[in-house]
Amino acid sequence: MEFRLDKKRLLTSLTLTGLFNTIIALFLTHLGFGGGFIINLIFSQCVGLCICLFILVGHLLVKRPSLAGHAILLVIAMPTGAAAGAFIGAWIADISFSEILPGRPALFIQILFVGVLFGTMITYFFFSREKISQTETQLQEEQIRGLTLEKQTLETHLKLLQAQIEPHFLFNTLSNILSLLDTDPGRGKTMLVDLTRYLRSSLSRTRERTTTLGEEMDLVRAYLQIHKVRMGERLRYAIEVPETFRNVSLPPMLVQPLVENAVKHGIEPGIEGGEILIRAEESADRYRVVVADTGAGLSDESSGGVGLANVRERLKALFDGKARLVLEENEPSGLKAILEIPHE
Amino acid sequence: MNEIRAIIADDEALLRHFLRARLSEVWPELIISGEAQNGKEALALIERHHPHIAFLDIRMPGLTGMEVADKIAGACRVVFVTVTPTRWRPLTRRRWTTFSNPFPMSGFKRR
Repeated sequence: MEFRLDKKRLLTSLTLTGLFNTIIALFLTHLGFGGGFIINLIFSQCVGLCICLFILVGHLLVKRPSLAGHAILLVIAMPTGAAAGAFIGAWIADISFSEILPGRPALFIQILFVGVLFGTMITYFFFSREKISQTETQLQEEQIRGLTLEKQTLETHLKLLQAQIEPHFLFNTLSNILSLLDTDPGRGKTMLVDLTRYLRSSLSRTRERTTTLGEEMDLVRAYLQIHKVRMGERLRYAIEVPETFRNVSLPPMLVQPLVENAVKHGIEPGIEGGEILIRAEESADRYRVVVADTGAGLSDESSGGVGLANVRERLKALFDGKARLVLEENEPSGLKAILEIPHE
Repeated sequence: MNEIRAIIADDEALLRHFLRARLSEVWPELIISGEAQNGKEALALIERHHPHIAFLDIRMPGLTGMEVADKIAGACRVVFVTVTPTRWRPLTRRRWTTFSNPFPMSGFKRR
């Protein structure tokens, strides 16, 4: 437990202690202890406030005491506080010190005993109070953290959804289909089927938490097929994902942004176009999905692209730092994006 | 000799075809003297044919439509062609004095 000493805490501690001291004085007077209410009040205030100050100063010196540290602090602060309070009380009440010590050691020991007894009770009260308030703060912080995470998830979903149905892609594909309807209705139909498949799975998948590598590859294939119709010979692609990998589960929309990035920044800018190769492989503790293109390679645009940044952000949130996205130069040219996901 | 000649530049064959088809519907007299697949070809085509109008796709490999427009420096009128009816920001940010307004292909209508 950490103690922070600010003005507010100091003030409430002293006020409450003063209140307790008054109650103790009343109680002792009622029992017929000591020398009347006024004398009892002076002594109890002095002793109580001294103990309180000693403990506060102790916490100021040792910011984060262990349980043993707490105990030692109390064992030292309580009797010394009580003794100091007794002397100050005697001074205020104008009782000569000789009357307390060494003349009447019994009275001194009584004051010490009463001080420590009530001191322990009140310290326990303060300790519980502090603990409750800290627990509440922790709970609140956790709630805030939970809400923030939820908000981020929703935002990511929205971003994903917007990215999948990018206006340019959609209108471009529709114009292509329109053109094919004049010249080659069969191919137009195939493209429409691909578009439908792509849209359906993007829309449903952004809401799901996990999908399989197989489904993700179907989506990517539809996506690449659409681009293939648009770009013709300029785009060549191959998907080399073994059948055994189809059931590997992974969060949706992690591979597609890499493929989109390869098309947009790798293939489209080059007059000759290029090749995209998608591979999946497995090592002892992780799966690797590699998206390699033969385009322009690492540029400021591809390393800092919104799509890739989004993937990185999601990997961080979903796998707690255990998954990662690596960008490498592809041989002989282009960019290699490697997605590394740990086994479940 | 008041025939009007134009060239079409777009990296996507289907969209070139689509534009040519729509143009022939709305403007049958227009002569398309050439098609280019990228910005560099478009530039060469304009220099060779001296068309009155160049229909340029904005996003093209080699040179973008806007780079081509810059290089020809008003040698002919430029019509930017895009399929997306949004994202005009790069166009509106500059003052294109020699060009007509960009318009989306979906805007083609029979007169």
